Amino acid sequence: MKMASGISYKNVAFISAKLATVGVLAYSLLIMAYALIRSSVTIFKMMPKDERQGILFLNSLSIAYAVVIFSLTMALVSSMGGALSGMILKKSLLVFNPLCNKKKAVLIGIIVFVMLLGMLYIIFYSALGPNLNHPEPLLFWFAFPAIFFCIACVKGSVLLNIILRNSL
Amino acid sequence: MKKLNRFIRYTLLLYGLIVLVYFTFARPALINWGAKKEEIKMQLPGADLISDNRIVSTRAINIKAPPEKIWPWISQTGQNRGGFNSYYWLENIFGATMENASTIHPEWQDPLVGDTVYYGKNEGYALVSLVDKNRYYSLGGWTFFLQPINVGNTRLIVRYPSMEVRQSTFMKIYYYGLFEALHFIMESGMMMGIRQKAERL
Repeated sequence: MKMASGISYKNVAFISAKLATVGVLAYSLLIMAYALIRSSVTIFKMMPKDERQGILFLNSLSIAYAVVIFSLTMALVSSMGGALSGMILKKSLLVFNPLCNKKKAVLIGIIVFVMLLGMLYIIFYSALGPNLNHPEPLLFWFAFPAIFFCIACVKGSVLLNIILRNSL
Repeated sequence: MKKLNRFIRYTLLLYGLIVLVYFTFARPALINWGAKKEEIKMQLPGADLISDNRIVSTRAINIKAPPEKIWPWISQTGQNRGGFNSYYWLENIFGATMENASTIHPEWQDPLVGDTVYYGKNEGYALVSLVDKNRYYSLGGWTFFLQPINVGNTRLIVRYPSMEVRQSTFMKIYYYGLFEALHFIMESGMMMGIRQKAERL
């Protein structure tokens, strides 16, 4: 599968899958911290001092555990999505940017990001229905991960473009 | 790339530690959080709604208020009523569109058997299966029982029938992997929320 492009599709898929996994794990750590802090603050307000410790421990571990399981599942799905995105990016760069222009690479990164984001929206909408359009689920499931995804797509496209240019 | 590998390795190590501590220390304690041995064995109203092959949790909390001051918050339970008195922001992440009432709504004070209680907007629901004002309230076996301790103090005992013991592997993974922990977070939050509101009344 290795082409004149310097990096095989297999390697692009592998690196992209790894990046997606890192993105999901990093996001899950942020979510875990947010949920732990917010629920602990609520418990501090609700429970008297002598009854707090047990529930704080159990609540924190339950939140952390649920986030772990959820993020590992999402990491599995996202790594496949990441691999696919990487391969689409490479193919798009080879087809639409044969001269390896940097600006064009950024544009291709953005277009691939928007197209895949549209697909993601359809997938999440089919799972959550119209409830997805409320501010909290929209931000949590879609907008914040989209920032990670956008950076990965544009930066990935630029880096891939450099590799392709060097192999010309 | 080395940094990414290191990040994945350390995060997975942390995750493994969380899973280990959860199953060793947290899970055995959260199943019957706050409940005494006799309360776990206690026959509660709605017992006939729970089949023998279910995993059942019993949780309890002391409230410095008489049942009459706790009841109004239990009776208006539901997304289509006064919310669940729990972490609404966590429920809303999953699209529940939850809002916890901060006042008692007279129109929701007399729930009837057969009333629909929604868990979230456009989501699942349960029917009120048992009601005895100031004593107990049950949604298909999920029972809230108010036991007076003395004048001005009440024990809120909550029994929840969750997964059937004999289940498909997929359901077991879902139950042990996610549902059990999430349900504990929300139910304990609800019990603390009810307590806070009842004691403030």
